[in-house]
Amino acid sequence: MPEAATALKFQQQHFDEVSEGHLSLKWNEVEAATEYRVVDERDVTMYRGHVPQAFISGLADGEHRFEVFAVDARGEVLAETETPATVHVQHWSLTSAFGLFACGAVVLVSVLLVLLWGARHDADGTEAAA
Amino acid sequence: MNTIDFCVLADAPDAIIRPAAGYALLAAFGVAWIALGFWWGRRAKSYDGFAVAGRNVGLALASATAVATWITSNTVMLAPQFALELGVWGALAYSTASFGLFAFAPMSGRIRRLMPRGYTAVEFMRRRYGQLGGVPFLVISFFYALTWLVSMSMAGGKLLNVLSGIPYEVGMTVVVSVCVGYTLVGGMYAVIGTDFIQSLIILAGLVVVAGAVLSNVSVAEVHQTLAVERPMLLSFLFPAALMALFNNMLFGFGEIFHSNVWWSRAFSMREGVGPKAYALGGLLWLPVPIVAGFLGLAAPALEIGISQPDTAGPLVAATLLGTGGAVLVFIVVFCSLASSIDSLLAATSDMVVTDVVEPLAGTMGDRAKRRAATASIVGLGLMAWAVAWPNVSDLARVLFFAGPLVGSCIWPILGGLYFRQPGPIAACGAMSAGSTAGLVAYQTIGWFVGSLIGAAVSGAVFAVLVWWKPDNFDFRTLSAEPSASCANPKQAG
Repeated sequence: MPEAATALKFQQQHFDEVSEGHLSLKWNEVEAATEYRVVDERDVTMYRGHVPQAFISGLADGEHRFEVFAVDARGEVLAETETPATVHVQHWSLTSAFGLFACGAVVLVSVLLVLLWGARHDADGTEAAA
Repeated sequence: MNTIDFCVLADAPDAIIRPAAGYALLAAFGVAWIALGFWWGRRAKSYDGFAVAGRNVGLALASATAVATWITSNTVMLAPQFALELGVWGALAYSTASFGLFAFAPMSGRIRRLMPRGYTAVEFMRRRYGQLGGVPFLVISFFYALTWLVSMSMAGGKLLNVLSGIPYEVGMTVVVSVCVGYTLVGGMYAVIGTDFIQSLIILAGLVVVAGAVLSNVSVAEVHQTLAVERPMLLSFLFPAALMALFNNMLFGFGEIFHSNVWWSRAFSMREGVGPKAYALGGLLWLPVPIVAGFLGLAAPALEIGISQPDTAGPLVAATLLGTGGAVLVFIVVFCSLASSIDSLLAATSDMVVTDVVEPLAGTMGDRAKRRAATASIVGLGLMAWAVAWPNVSDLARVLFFAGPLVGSCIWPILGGLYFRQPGPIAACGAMSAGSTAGLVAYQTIGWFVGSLIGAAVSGAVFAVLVWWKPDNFDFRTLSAEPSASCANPKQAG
């Protein structure tokens, strides 16, 4: 089998500052492979499927490494990546998140207050002119 | 609910059912919808009948049409994606779109009373704020409606291709043609009637899929797998998810408050029905994205590899239920698409007739309006078909920009509906400032803050301008015949 058919390589090997904890890993297809497995640095399998692309999500802050294995119908490994994909996750700061959360809560409460005020005056048959 | 990314399915995995089965289902449902359109459309003898179903829709049909319209293909595809990307918060964030229906419930009653002869949301804004408020709102409304229509048409072609292998062009053409066909013959009667059946099919389909998932994997197993493999999906302190929660809710508020899809239904409902129908519709819709989101969260525990998050729902359903599940997904998706496209065609054609053709042509008779509506439905269908044909994914992404724009409409609508003081300058300033700030936030921070910033800035600007230049609008002018006050809204005092 030609070298190109069994070599496995991620299209992108470095992911810096992933701020939402998710990403897509893509790699080249391998002839005769019926399944690909993406495994992280803890040896936890994150993806099993026949499409050379994995959606990984829910990653916590820190450095993560992923390798992919191409497996044939008998379960034998045909190829594996020589260089893992490294992902640096740095979520948005909680200060920013809670700031926007609070902003959203204020807008929502304001909308609800206006609706309640309006509905009350509407039910009374009076115009909400205040 | 409409957001994000249903436009990346071109290289999705192999088709789930065979093309022959897909064609058979497409033909069966296409013929059924058009036949039902003819059946219900028999009552659409006047323009009022065609555009607003005679203003006499009862509670059952009204609730069902709210549910069916709000369950778009995105709800089925995107709720699992939200859950996979943003975890439990993501599923909850998506479900908060139902709050828009709850909030619109009391508004619909007031809209119906204030404008007993009204047709569109733009008509309200024009008569309430004059051209200064009406024109920006018209632009935002058309932008939203047309991009939603095009993106739904594209989603139809892509989803049917992914599910059954039917070529994109064929699937897209059939979906658009069928919807144009029955909307054209039956108007709002056909739209609401088919929505009723579509909502029943969609809800029943989701119950079956949810049952299948829960019989294969327990909530505890899902939790355990996520805790090991994807811990942030369970985290209470997931920053992006915290930001997205209110953004999604306010996007939903903006969509429902401003879109003529919802206003035309409010005008169609019998007096007193709207508040109950929208509240009931919201209650029925609320669990749908939670169920769909659970499909996404369950995928890792079921060892279903997800390559593209927007295919998680169909993949999980098809894997668990086999061919029957795939057929079910196909039907649910087709119903979801049709129930949204038909509503958009009907509501947008109302806008074309009431807010573009009639103001330009002068007062029109019933037959002239009906002819204009027919032409606009065909024109909108052709436009959507022509723009969707090249299958340019970036076009569908344009819809994402609608978030900040519709978010900026919340306050001018709400304030204009309940208070006398807001005037044209406040409405125009709020929409302009909110849209601009929201779009900047969208570009610099991310999609998950665009609507939130748009609504917040719009609200602040609206409050300041109302305080600075208070008006004294007379709500009685809204119940006058449209021609009497459409160009120059009368001010009291």
